Amino acid sequence: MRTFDPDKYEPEVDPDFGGRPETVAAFKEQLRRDSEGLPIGKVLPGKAIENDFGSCHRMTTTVRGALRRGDAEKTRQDLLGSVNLVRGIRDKTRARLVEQGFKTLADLEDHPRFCGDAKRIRELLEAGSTEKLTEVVGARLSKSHPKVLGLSGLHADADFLFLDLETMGLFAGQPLVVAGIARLGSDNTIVVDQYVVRDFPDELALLAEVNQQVAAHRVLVTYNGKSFDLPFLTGRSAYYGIKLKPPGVHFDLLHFCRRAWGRKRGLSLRRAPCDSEGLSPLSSVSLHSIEQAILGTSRETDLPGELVPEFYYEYLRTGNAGFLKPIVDHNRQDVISLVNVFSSLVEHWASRG
Amino acid sequence: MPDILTALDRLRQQRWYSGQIAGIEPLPSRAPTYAEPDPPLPKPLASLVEQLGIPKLYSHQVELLRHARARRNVIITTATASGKTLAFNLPVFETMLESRSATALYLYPMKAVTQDQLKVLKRFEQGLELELHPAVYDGDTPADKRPRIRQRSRLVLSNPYELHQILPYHYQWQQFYRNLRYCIVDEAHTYRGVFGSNVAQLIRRLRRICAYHGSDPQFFLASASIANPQELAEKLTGKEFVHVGDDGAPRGRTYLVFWNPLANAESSIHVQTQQLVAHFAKSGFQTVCFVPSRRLAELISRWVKEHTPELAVSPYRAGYVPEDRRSIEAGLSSGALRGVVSTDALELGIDIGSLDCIVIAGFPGSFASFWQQAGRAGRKLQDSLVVFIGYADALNQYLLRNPALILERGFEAAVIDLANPYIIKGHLACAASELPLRKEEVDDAKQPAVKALEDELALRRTPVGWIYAGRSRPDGGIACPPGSICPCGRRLPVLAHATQDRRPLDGHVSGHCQHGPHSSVGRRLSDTGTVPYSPPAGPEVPVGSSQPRCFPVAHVWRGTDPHQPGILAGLPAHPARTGHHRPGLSGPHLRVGPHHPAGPVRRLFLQLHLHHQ
Repeated sequence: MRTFDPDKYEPEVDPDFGGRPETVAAFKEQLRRDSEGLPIGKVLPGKAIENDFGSCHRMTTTVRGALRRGDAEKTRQDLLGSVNLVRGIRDKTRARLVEQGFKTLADLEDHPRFCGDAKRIRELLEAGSTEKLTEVVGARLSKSHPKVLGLSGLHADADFLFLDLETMGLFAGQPLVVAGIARLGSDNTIVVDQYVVRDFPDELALLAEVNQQVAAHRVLVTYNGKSFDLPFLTGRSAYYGIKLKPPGVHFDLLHFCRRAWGRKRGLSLRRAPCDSEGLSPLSSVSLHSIEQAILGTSRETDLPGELVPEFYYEYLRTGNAGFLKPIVDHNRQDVISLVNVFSSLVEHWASRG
Repeated sequence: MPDILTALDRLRQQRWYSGQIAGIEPLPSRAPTYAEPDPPLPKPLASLVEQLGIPKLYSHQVELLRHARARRNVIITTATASGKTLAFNLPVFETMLESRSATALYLYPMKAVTQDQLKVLKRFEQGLELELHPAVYDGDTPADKRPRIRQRSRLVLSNPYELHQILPYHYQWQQFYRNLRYCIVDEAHTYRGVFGSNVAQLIRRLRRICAYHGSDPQFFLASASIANPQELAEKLTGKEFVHVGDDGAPRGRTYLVFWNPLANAESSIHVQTQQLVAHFAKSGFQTVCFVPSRRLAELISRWVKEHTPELAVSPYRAGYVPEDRRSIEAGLSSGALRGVVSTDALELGIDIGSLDCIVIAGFPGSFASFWQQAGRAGRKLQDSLVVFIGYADALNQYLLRNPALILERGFEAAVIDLANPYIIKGHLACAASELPLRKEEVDDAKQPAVKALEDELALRRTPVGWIYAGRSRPDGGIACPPGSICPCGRRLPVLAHATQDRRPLDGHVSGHCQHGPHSSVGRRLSDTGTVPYSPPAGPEVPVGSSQPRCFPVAHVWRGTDPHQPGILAGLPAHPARTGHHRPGLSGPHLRVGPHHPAGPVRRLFLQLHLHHQ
């Protein structure tokens, strides 16, 4: 029977949790020294913005980059030709219909049984109401089907909003600290706005800004936003009693990445997705894994997400804005990756037909 | 049913009887008192009551209805099986018939009871042809069922733990809270001591959220007999209450037998317990025996089975799989099970019908528990038997020599402290994470707690009020992985337990740790159970820090000194004891086991308390 000697016992720290203590402590010390006494405006170049709910700090960066989202006309043609979007049509029926000469949705409008549904889908396409179309396509095929992502082709660059949040924790009763929003600028640029909470009274203003941006754009792109970012925003807005208009179309890239590059799970008869390109399926589809494996970029000193609360806490305690820098850098990189991952997904599926 | 006096005579003729009966006290029977509600019940409800086999309502049920209609809050303390459930369901369903949107919340301390109540509510719903979708929303409710319950259930059954977890998500329950008319709290006598103080603060948080959504529910509390029902109710909820205590239900004559096992020096107490249970079960009485520990329940049950193989006998305790517990309860209700040996798990309101004979082995620790257990005996107006076996210790023997103490029905008071700064602090942090804490809500009593939380950077002042800004959930809840927390090396305040259980807590306690890298590990405890710890070196650790640490632990004892109550934890003698630990970490950890008799009670307390040491 093993006995413990209380005086010799050392508490175990989970090595996967939050980075190794020694390097984190050294990093913190360096940040503290570098930014001692500097105001936030010097450490995070930007300015304070005001709205009806208060003010917060905004940092704007512009980087070169473009979004690949598929050709509008091609998408339309592809959808018009997808007869299996109509309820009741699967492979067998489809084969039979093609034989009979019903190849597109337009043809189906003459069919006695399927005309109603086909007409409805065509009308949605013509009206360009991608919100309803994502629902239809998602329901008939799968929510993370390439065709759902393909619907992005029906939008203009200006419709897109890429969002990533940094918070004090996973629980919606804890505050937001940084919100990163990217929009597509003219001439192949990505404009990244990062809103930072200098102290918690700013959070309400930040929420109002974010909500306004989400309401102003028809397409929202996030990573794991369906499980985290959007419920978090909803909870936080409810906490302050302000309204959040739900996004029109929400592409959560995690699910698409899983479908495109993730590991085959369980007894699936589906062929491992990356085999044909010689890429083996990824065991982790976190944003970082995708960045490394697919985009081929890697971040040098990146703050792991779990340490964000700890660094923000240090900022609050010491008032030294240096601790905010890694959080903001991490967030900016996440948001820019969102754009690039989106493009990669579109290319990946475009190349496979 | 065979005659009790005859059975007692036969008992005296047994070989092993040598004068152990120290006394027999017949408790008088009571005839029922009926009453008619005025104005009468709406027709559908009246006919449903008749269909349920209840021709007339008891006086206490009608009194509760009268107060409920007058919009008063009521606490009812009539005996077990006196129709308390029907009493508070009548006003609720009357309202459900009138209003299309009204909702009601039912809170029970234990999950087992909620299933029974759900059946009752579904029967009402069916009988009245309403669409209320009564549902249980607690830790066992699967995630995919939750959204529908939030959207459409008008009757929700839950428990304080779950409520504590879901209050921050009140925006998902907006419709429910906006239309909340009734909040029913059952077994309110269990909410006493530290646990009760926590629940009192929890209910105030609930009322705060209801006020935010625009409702002010009426409270109905049901409780066992305690010395201060009105005070308890008012302290628990902060509202004014009316007490309904005059029991109109009929009671048959109960023979209370005081049994002193020491009169037979050769026979062990437990053997005598088994002999008594076997004797009465064989004589044709459906018997339940309450014993102080789980091990004893199984042991005595096994002995009884050995001696009476022809009878169906079973042990019962918390820690059994719910299906097994349901089947034992059903066996008791139907009469198939002739004998059950149980811990106090069977004391609370689980519906098992009434029994012919109750054997109470060892004083359960409080008069309230004693009468809860004894109250299980007695079907309608038939005679019943309660045998109290006094154990060898001083308290039990004193009671045997002074039966007046028990017979005078002195009930303990249920005490709640609303001013405990540790408890207030925890709940303030939670309240701030639900809605911003406004200045009007912070009175002088709460000022120091708010200041302390601000100093720890857990609360921050903003123009809309104080918001919660800690790095972990203030309730120390779900985000904390099991098995990852610690004794802080100091004495921790104790959990008050309704039955004043004397057993050592075996091994597992969990909560959220917020200790930084400098705390010391608790030293090894001796078997006597109380050890002074030296306070840990290093800085005070603030609320809401998020780095969990794991420490090995041994036994956790309830403190034995009433002036310095504490849960003390130490190091394990056996690393292999605890079954589950966080993957990647070796060594045993501190963890609340589901097999602990009051597992959830402790979790709630510990999560809040460990935070604010």
